[in-house]
Amino acid sequence: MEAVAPRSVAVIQAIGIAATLVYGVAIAWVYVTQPRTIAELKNAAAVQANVYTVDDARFALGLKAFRDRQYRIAINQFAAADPANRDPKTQFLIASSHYALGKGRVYDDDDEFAAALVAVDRCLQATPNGSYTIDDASLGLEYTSAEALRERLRQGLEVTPGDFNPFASGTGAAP
Amino acid sequence: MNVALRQHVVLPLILLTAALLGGLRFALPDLEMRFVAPPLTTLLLGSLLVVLYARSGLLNISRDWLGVERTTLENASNGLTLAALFIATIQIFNAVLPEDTLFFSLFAVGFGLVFWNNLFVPVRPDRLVKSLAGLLLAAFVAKYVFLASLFAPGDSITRSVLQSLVRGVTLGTVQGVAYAPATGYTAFLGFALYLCGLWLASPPRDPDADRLYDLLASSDRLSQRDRARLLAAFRGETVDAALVESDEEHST
Repeated sequence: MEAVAPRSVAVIQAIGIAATLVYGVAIAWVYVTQPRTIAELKNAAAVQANVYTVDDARFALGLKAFRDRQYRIAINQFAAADPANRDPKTQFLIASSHYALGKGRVYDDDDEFAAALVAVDRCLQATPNGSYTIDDASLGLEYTSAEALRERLRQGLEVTPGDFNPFASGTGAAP
Repeated sequence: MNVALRQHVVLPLILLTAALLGGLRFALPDLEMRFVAPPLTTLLLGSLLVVLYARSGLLNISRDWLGVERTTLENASNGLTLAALFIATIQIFNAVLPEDTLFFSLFAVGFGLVFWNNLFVPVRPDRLVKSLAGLLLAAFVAKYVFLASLFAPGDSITRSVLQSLVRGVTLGTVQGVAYAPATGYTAFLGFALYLCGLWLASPPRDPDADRLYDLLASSDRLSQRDRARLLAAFRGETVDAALVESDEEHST
């Protein structure tokens, strides 16, 4: 036979159960996600709570730098705008900036292409269907599809006989 | 009301905070956070210690925590508190055990032997908490004062000599892990919170029970007469008859 607890005690017990569960889950989540800084922790929590948004002001600065072909500045601004690396458009533009910096007439820069590949992979991971196409024609991008850009980056990172041809351009055919 | 608030809200939150801080480290040089999961050995030590808590009476599960005579809500709340205590216990070992393999093994074996020994001796809950606090504090000092200063980065000649000496004595098996001093502060806070949690979870002291424990623990200090009276009381006999019997035995 169960004892009947006074209402106030039952309320405290219910609050205790809820608080313990929420706090316990939060601690387990912190140990699983392993944030390195308080800012990272805040971003990860915002993503988890579905309230994460890109910093519009930083994104606009990045876009302006991108249009002015100041790709290093653009990368920094885009990275600051999307610290959790969750926005596909921002990640695609970071990848495009690295691609623009790494693409060469004689050879491609492997470091820039590797960084671009990481960013384009993050872009595709952040999309629900694993596919992304940017719809802003004013940017004058060589590749508007993330999959096509990734393929181009992969080809650029592979060592092929064409890499030793000084007359061949490093770029492939754009879709 | 206050007791309910303490047992169902404050206590589990204190224990969970101790659990959170137990695995928190700050890496040099940027004070980046690292949340270190507890090694398997700490689970074994934690289990042993919780058994010791139950055996010493610090946690009397059926009397104070769980049972059919309690409401479902109370059982659920108490069950969660006990789970939080177990997790906090594991994490406290995670905090105070050195991360170097050699010292980790030494400390873990030391803790295990002390707990194993305590399983077979009668121990009062408050004294168990005191001895545990001393043990954990010793491990804390060894890890965060001695080993941390020994393996702290820097160009001190004395430190280099000591490091070489320790590595030489241990045949190079000691590889110190250097964390920022903030790690020690958070570990100490976790340790203090864990002890607060234990104090909150322990049953209220009964002076009569304490006196009885002291009497039985040091029965050799009792006179023959007092011992006879005590035994008579246990047997349910009248004290006078026991005293007469004791005097007769004494005279023969």
